[in-house]
Amino acid sequence: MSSREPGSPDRIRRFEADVLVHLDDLYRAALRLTGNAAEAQDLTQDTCLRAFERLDQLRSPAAARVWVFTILRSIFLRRIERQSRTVDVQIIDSPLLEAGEVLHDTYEALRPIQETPLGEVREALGRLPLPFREPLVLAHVGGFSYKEISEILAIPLGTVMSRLFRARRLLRSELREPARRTRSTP
Amino acid sequence: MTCDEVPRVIDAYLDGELSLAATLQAHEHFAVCETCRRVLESEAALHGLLVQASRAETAPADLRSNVLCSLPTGGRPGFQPARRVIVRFGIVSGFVGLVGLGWLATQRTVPQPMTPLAAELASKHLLYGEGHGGALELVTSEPTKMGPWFQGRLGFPVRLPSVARRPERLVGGRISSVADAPAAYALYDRSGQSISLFVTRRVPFARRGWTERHVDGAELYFASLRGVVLIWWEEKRAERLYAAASGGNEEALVEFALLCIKGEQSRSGGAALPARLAARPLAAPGSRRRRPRRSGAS
Repeated sequence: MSSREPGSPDRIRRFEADVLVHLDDLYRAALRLTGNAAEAQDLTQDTCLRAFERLDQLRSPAAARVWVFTILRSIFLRRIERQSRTVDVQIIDSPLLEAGEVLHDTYEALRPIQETPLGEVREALGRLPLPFREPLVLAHVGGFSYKEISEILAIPLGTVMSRLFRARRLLRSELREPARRTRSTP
Repeated sequence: MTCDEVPRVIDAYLDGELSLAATLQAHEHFAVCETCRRVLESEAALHGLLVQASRAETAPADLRSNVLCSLPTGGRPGFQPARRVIVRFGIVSGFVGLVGLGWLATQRTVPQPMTPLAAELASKHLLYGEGHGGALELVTSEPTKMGPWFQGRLGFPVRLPSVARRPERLVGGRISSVADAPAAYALYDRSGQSISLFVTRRVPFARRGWTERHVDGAELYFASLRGVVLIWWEEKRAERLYAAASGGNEEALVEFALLCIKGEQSRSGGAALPARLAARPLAAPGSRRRRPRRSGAS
């Protein structure tokens, strides 16, 4: 039985080594994207299944991590579209950051941020608009480089940097003023 | 590096994305500038919090096994060793053995490659159905509560069978997805055996890899995967796909599928149903089912 056959032991071994090894990170990313444990399990399982079906498209084991996260994101976005949830894309992506966006004095007014309970951080992350939440999840859950995030999200490198920057500013503002919520998105 | 430049590079510095030269410049600046060092510490704390918040959770213990169980398998367990033994026997026994091997080969049916739909339904049945209701969003035995709950969340009506005089009992439901489209998921219990019911939009090319059978006038599509029996059918007017899955026997699942179809039939008075669904009355529970007729979609 060749490794190209659907259920061959070689194919399953390859799937375990290249894809299933990322299961925890896939689940964590799914959890942060969906905000719901049951949906996250569902999304992770569908991602793994899709990856197994398309395992032949994987060029090399080194590319597996980016590849499988791209699948996860694609399934997640399709679900959002089909569920008619609105994705807030009313953001202006500029590849270069404006100096005026950065306010030094905000740091002074902060409570010691390291004391923030993790649950509060997760909630604040969940309230970020999706275009900002995605790169943060990929950077902190997946540990991806800017280049890899750019590949997964199919956006230019400068846009990745800009979104990450704004995402962290928004998150900081959420943690500083939890009562003032950003727009809720899926 | 100046204080004005720090905000532009601080994220990249903490993310390890700066060039070596720029990293050294930033280092030098932080060493001499108290204000920027405080900014750096605050940013580093935020990065640290994000990592902790994101990575503290782990996947449920059974997720890995559920994923592995849901993989489409092309071969039967034990097939390869068995064939090897037979081949060795054939070599030793000469012609008689070869004849025996040939006979065995004809007896073995080549397993159908499982379709993505079958794998998805089976995996979700294992995920939601075998967890004794732990994954349900609404736990209720009342179809009158479950139906509107689904409709409110999915935006389309979901017909649930009436099980008042049946061995099946509604356990509850949740919103799921099938083929990346939103789907209603209802869990039933029949004498300790879980039955899953999925309702979603029609799935393109769903027939591929399934076995079509006409049972009591209903057009049903069958598959089985890792001990999970799967049946789906279409409600053509509403463009919905219904699918049932169970780890129990096929006969009971066929009964359940026919019960779902009968509910739809009685609801609409049978007047406008497609001929294939309204053709003949349903078999009583436990009665002998008409011998299935196979058609081309194998």
